[in-house]
Amino acid sequence: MGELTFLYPWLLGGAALASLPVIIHLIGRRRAPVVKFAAFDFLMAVNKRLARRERLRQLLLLVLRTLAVLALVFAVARPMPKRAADAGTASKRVAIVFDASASMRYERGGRSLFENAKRQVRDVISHLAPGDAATLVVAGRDVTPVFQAPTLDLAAVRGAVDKIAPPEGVANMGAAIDMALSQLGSDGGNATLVIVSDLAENGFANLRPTAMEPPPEVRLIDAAERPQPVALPNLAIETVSVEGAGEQASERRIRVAVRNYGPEAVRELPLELRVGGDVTQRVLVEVPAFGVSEKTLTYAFAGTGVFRCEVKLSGDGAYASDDTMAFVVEIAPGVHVLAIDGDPRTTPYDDELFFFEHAVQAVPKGDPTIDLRIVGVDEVSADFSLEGYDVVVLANVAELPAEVVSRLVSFVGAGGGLLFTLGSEIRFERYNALFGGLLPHPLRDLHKAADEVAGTPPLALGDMDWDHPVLAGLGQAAQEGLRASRTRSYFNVDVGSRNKTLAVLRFDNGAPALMERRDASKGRVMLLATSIDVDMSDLALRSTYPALVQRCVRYLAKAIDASSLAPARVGATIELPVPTGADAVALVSPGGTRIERSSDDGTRRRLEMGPLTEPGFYSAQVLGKDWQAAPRLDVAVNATLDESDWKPVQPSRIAEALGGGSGDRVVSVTIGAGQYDDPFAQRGYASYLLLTLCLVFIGESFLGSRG
Amino acid sequence: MSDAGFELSPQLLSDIETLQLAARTIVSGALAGSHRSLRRGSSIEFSEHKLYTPGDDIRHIDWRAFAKTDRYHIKQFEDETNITLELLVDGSASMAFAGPEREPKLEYAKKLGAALCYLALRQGDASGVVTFATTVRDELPARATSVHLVEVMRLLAQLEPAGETSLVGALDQFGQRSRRRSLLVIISDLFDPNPGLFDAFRRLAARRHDIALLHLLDPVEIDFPYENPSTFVSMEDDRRLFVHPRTLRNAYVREMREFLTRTSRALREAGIDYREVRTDADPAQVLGSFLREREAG
Repeated sequence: MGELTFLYPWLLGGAALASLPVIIHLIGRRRAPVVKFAAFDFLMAVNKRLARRERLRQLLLLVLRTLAVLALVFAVARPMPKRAADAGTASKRVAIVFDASASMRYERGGRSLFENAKRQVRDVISHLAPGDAATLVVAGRDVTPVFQAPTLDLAAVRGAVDKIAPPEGVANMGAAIDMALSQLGSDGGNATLVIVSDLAENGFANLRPTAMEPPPEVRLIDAAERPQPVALPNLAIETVSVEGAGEQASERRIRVAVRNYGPEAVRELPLELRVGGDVTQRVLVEVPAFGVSEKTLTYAFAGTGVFRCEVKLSGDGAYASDDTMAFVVEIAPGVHVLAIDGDPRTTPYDDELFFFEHAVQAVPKGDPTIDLRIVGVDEVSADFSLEGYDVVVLANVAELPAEVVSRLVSFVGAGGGLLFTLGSEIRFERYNALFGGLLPHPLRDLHKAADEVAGTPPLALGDMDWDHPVLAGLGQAAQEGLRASRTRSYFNVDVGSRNKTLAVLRFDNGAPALMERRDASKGRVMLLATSIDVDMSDLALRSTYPALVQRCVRYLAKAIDASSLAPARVGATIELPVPTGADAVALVSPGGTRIERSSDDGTRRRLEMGPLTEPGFYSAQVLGKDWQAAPRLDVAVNATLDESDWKPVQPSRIAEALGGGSGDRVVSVTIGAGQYDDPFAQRGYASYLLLTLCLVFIGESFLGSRG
Repeated sequence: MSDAGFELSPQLLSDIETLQLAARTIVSGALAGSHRSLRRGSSIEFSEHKLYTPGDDIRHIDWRAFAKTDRYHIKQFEDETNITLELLVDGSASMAFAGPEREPKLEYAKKLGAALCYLALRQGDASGVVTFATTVRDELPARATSVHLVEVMRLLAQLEPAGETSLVGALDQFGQRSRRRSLLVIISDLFDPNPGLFDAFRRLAARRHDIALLHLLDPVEIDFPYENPSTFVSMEDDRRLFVHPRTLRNAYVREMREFLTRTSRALREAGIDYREVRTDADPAQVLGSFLREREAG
């Protein structure tokens, strides 16, 4: 038992109460009723015979009652072993780091690790003695110090544990441990750091050495209560990629990668594809231990539009957050293009639209169709109808009937796409006068870049806006093809105009080559500052040309795939493309939280949205004249996989990270509740005394009843 | 006898009246539906001679005795012999004991004794009273006159409990004085620590007295029903004793039972009519039972 000390030694004065039973006995004897009794001799004789036994019983009763009072007095004085380490102060300082990250949702035996952890922390607190101080740091999405310093109010700490919010986010245990240690001060004597966590290795990445001297005792409490330090079984959908299946425009190939974080292989695990909430396909997957398995699903979407999809693992119920991955698939419709040829030729190669026509018709298998109609400029009469077309291309068109121009304005205002390409037929004054209301910028003059006399070479393309949807889908080879193109002449534009314009391509002298007008009108307008054939540029000869032209007309028709918006992870900040004409974009989370960003007068192409904190589908909205839904910009957000791996951290690693092992410094890190296993060592001997008190009362009652 | 010089105070008169009334009530209750006497059995056997006195029936003159002694003797037979009732009442301090809501033993004894005297006098028998504690305290010789009943009642009414019980001394003292065979009815609680008590009874019985002992006890003295720790005080001296009654009860009751058994056996062996009487019993029933059993012989 060792040396004893008392928590409330002044209460020992109550030991004087031990004389109470004797006093009560004596008073009771003096105040006993007097009975005159005739058969007194009999009473005397009997009493004489039983006197010794009765005196012993009375003595025992007195002793027991005195003991009971003494036991009660000693119990309330709270005797406890004097800790050698205390050296004058019996208090202990405990900093508790509570892991409230999403991985604590993992369920074992019908209980989540989060619930286990709460119970374990309550247990730790209940084993602290009065006078000990404790503090609590919660490591959830953020690191939150519940108290600013260790408090003696253990009930408050217990209450704070009850109020810890449900687990979410990625735990930064390093920051939480830093914060907890800073609250313990610089003296590590009598200080204990208790870490209650699933002990997932990922969470302990950012540990820093502690400067405390001596280092505090560190105790790890495994919320998973694993008998052996092994990874917990868990499967997660790691990636989902969507691509055309190559047969039909509406058919997609969906590749799903499933990772097994557990030590045992998994066989015949059901994997479901859900489109719009309905299960459309179900397959079985096999995943080796600690390995990845890829499964490909092919699905033909019904019609065009934006589809909200999910792939989901069934039967892996321990941690559901990473069993589902949501994603958005857009099936773009076919495009109807009217191309007005401003310089038709009988020789096909010389025709203004020869290269354009062939480029548009080279639609890859499985892509939506582009239906092209070419008319000569002479065929365009005043009553020419634009109805039924998504995009109009004016290729080197110098003149059009005013009615048609007017109709073009209406066409763009109604959402139609318009592409201006220039050429030798163009006279900029007249062009500006005719199409000035539609052009991104007015034309200024024809610039001949390549001059054999002057010895100036043709221009290459310089800055390219790869974030623009027209270019975003092009690969590295396409970039090289564009850079290889050379332009001999082009029209300068008056960039000083107040039109909101965006340069998608620039020549290497900085002049805009392909620009887009970005205003509030519904339709999109682009201008190619050079010719679409080979008269002024060799762009049409480059391998990139067909893809560039196709993406251009699809973009103008608002029919380009938005699938470049890959599924995001919880906590990520994404860049959302700002549609033409939009002043602001917004995302509305599954829970209804709205994130709104302004496009700063239409000059910004992409806006940062986030962090996106909720898993599920975020609905997009754009602000033109009013806020309107933009399902093509919807974003699927999925749980991060940072919390999916329960490979346990090694105590030695934590000890080393906290500064142990350098020189003679030792940081003690152990798994388990340690000395808290012995409640009496912490609570003192009051319980023993109360038990003694009970036994004394039982004995007293027995002896009393014998009387 | 202390009959000279006393005054009949109103209280005493009242006590006498009360006692007399109680005696009548008890006797009438005891004799209800029958006619019993204190005589033991019935007999026509010759009992004794007595000198002829004028007025005696000359038919009973024993002429043989006349021939021998030249004196007239009258033959007397058993059933014609008047019995003499000698009532010995214990007036020691212990007789003042009374259980809860009961009268003291002495009061009970007075009623019972008065009833016996009343019955005897009503049947023409003489009755005397002796009260005692340490020694004989008062004595009223036996007579058969109706006036005598008043004397008996007065003596009993005046009896106050006092002194230690010394039944041995009282019996011996009485035995030395009485020469005539009598019916001795002793009413006492027998709380006399003298070990020669039974011998004293035997000595008295040897004088051919017909002895009946009414052993008077309060039920509390038998059952000892006390619960709380108390200081018990002797009624006959200054002794005190603090005890927890619950711890002693079983042993006490056992001790008392043994005493009663031992007493009963010893006295019956000495030819004494021993009766244990509890003060919670109806005195009429006690007397009735006493008379019935004596008549049965």
